[in-house]
Amino acid sequence: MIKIFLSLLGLIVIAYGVREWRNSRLVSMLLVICSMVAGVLVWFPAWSDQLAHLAGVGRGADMILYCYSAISFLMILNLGLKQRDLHQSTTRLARYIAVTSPRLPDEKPIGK
Amino acid sequence: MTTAATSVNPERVALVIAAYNEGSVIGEVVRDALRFFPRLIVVDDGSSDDTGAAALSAGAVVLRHPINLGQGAALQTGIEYALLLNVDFVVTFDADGQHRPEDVQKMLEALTCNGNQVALGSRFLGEAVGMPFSRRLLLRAATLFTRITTGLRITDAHNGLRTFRRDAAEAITIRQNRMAHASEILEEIGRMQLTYCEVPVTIRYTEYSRAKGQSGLGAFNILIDLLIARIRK
Repeated sequence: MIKIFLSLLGLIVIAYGVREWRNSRLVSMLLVICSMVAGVLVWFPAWSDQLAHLAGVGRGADMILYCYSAISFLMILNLGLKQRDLHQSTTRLARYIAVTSPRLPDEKPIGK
Repeated sequence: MTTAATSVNPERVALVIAAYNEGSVIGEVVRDALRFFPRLIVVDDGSSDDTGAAALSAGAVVLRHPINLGQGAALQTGIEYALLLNVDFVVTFDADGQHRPEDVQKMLEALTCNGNQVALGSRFLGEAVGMPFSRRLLLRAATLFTRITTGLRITDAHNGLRTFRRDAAEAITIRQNRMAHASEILEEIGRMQLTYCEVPVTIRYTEYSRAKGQSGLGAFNILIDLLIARIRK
């Protein structure tokens, strides 16, 4: 049961990663890869020890924890990038207000 | 108005000044620059003091950001407004009194004589009056970094005095709202292969400008901003 639950969560993260492709390819790719690796390890936990040895990590359980940490980090990074997008929207709005309402010393219209 | 020592008609030049809480000096800076260039745009970047009013009474056109966004954002706002005017050149000029309008004339001359699209001021080819040693080191490191990342052979990476021909000003869009815009402009010049030259200028460091200037932490923030922008691509 827990395996199905974790797999569903992994699929949600993969779907989210695919959705983020347009915004950041790096974040999207890493999210998908990490989630897929984590998903495989949920179903084949014995592989985790072999993979962990290959990756230079002591135990498979540790590696899964590292995958989880990596995904968390990437999601935080992605949130930061989204916040930056929001800030850019604010900038465009503030710029529009500024450019369309100049204060002229002699009240001459633009370009005259 | 002082007679221009350049073949460029001053009416065809717009000076853009980004200002944030510069109420104590902006009036003098505007009056000094207006002696040479009548089209002066001050972007009041959400100041909490009387920066906008002081610039307006000194004779500048004032645009106001409703909130503080940063120098890069303010310059882009000023450049976009300048391009609505019938000008051939757009100049970015600091609000703290470090720059001399006379140097802008030299830069315009360099653009008209050599056919370059961008003229960048360089204090290291010219003079930096009263520059602290720590600032010199920081700027040298920033210049080295910029030379490596952009491939541009420049001597001064963070000089706010720049002159753009209209086509260059139209081509460049500043997306870095804060101080990383200086590196971003150079990256854009390199990426779009705009022709550029450096012009020796004089930068006057005053107690006021030193207090307002970049710290080591500021340089670190610039690096982070540039890094995040690259991840976003």
